[in-house]
Amino acid sequence: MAVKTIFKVLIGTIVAIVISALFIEILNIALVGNQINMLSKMAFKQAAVFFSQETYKREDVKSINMPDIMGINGALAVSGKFYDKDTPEDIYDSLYLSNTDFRMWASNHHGIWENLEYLKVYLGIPSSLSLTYDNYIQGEFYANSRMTPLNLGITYLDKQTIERIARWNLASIFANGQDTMIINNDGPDVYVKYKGFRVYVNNARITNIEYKVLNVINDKYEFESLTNLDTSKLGIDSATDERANVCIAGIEYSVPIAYEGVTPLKQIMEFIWNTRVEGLNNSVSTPGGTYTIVESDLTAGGIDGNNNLPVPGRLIFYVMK
Amino acid sequence: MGDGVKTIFKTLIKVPIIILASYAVFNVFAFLLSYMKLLGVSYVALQTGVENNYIPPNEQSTLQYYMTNSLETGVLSNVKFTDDTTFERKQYGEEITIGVEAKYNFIWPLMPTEQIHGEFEGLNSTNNFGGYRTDAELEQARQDKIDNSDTNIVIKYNVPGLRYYPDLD
Repeated sequence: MAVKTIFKVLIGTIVAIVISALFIEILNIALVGNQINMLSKMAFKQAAVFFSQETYKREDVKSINMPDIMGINGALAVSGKFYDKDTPEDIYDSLYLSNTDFRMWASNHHGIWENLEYLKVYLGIPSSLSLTYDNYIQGEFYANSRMTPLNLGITYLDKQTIERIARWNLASIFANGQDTMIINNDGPDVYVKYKGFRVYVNNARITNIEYKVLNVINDKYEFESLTNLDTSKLGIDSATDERANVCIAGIEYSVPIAYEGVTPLKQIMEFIWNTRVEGLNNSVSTPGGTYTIVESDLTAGGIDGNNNLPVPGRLIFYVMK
Repeated sequence: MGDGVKTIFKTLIKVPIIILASYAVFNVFAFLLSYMKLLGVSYVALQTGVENNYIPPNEQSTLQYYMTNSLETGVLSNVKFTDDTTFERKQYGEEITIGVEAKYNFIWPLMPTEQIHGEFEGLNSTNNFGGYRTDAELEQARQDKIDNSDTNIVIKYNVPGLRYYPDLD
């Protein structure tokens, strides 16, 4: 066989391998990227639903927190402790009574729902109701019976709590039941290996919760397009009916991800990148460069959704009376 | 050997190779297409499972109907949920298994096919003629064969259920 032929075969083989690897990587990114997007959205959505179910009120520790998720080295990777406190009373206090986020949210929603105004009177938040004995007692009763906006049919979500729940959800989903897929011994960030991707679960965050109060009569079309509900069947006929004002929360989130690939292509690139060629002075090539995995944020959700997609990638949550 | 004979032999060898190569290419594309379809339904099943902590009966029948009627083709058969798929309700955070499987039937030339009517059953254990089967029996035999065939595409997920049921401990 001629030397030319040997080189031709060698180069042809390398080109074929690289092209095949690239094809597989592109296919994998297209398929798994979509799945990560879908599962991330579900993790945040279910976190909001779980929060709204107020399981901490069950006086049962098992219902308050989830088991911690351990990583590949057996150490804690993602905490299953969703709330800052341990008892239902303390959790309620930390979520509402002494929570600055809640106070700010309540201040911004002024004079819309009467029951919330009673609670605001008790908490000393500027209210549309006057500070009278009766109003204060009513608010105190709500607070003592751990009444939350959700119980009053008003959407309010605690960002920090939902973020913790969502991180736990993300780690559980992407680990696929295997602790060895949760890497907590490779640098400061914990990530889960998922079909060639790295999902940095502990860095996942809610970037914003946007609240919008829509009146099901006056804002009929916008409300229907967001919720897919038929407003004529809600039994609300008047715009002045307090129940007509529905608070909708749009959850915007961000999940840092990186791609490391499923074929040996990445290892080859890493080797080449990390090997510094010394030149022609009889010196050998030595490890020199630094190949780093590039992280980028998967951002989606919100009331308007992600406009880069052909369909709105919105994530909204609401409760109604 | 004359050039003419050589050409004839070359052609004789080339023809089956080209046919086999064509079938191989067809199988690659058919497998990819079948796999993508199965992957799509597995995503839907996964989403259903995570949202409900199991596959509820209504969703199970809807998905199974879709798998049987829309996914099964000449090359893909026996599309179904895996046996260990979770069909019982579980509590938030508990691990559930969601899986779909199918049998990809590779298509090659000169593959034996079943007769449509009155299939000859062959000799029985006593070396006597075993008899014929009716059309209904044949159909049932084919269905049994499909149901019991080994699947060669399995897509399975072990994920937590993310719905809290207050009535469950």
